[in-house]
Amino acid sequence: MRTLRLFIGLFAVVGLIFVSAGIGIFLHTRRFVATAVSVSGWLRRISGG
Amino acid sequence: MVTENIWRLSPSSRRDTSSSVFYPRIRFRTDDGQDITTITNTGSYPPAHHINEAVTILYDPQQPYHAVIRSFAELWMLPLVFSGLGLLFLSIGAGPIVWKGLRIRKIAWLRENGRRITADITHVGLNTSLTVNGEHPYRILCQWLDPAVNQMHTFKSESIWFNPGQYIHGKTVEVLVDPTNPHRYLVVTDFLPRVV
Repeated sequence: MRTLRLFIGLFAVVGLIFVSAGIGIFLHTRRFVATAVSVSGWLRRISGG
Repeated sequence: MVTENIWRLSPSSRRDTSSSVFYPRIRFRTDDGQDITTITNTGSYPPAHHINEAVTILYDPQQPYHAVIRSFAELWMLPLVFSGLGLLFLSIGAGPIVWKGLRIRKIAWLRENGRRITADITHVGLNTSLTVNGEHPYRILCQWLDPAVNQMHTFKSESIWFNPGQYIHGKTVEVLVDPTNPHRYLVVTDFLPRVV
């Protein structure tokens, strides 16, 4: 039972970290989109490097 | 204005496998006339954009090399993946914690507001439908006839992780029942020793 509780707790902690990261990236991206300059263009060619 | 975009094979991938990923290299001219060439952070296979496809670039005026193609995947895929995985892990981890919290609340509510009835013990045995670390818990089954409506109610105790047989001296056990919902109940096993 103790091992099971440990695993459940671990899942919750990892989940919280991932959700926090997701929210952090979301807020960062939203801030970036709000301040970024938008320019238009088109793709010209594809190369291997 | 974007002057050129080059698809670049990911350095960590191989061309001959399906895991190859292409990252767009974009070149554009900022508003102050500076030519910028940079590679975006999001790659895909097959490439997400066609040659000569019109694209919109977003760049940070303070750091022009921080530029992305304006698309849903490029902007929002990463937070979506992190949040989705996080919610998945969190639901697995927090589910039992929430369930336990609700159970504690239910027990507290029943102890305060539940109707106390005396039910006849019909069986004390292993609950083989539940296995934890290869062991089944015991449970007490009991029944109570509601004389007002001539209805038989059956109740099951919470899981008991030792054999309670020798500690049950009578033939009845008390049950706390929600007066408005007979399916919400608690078989009172306070007379049993606590498990350390």
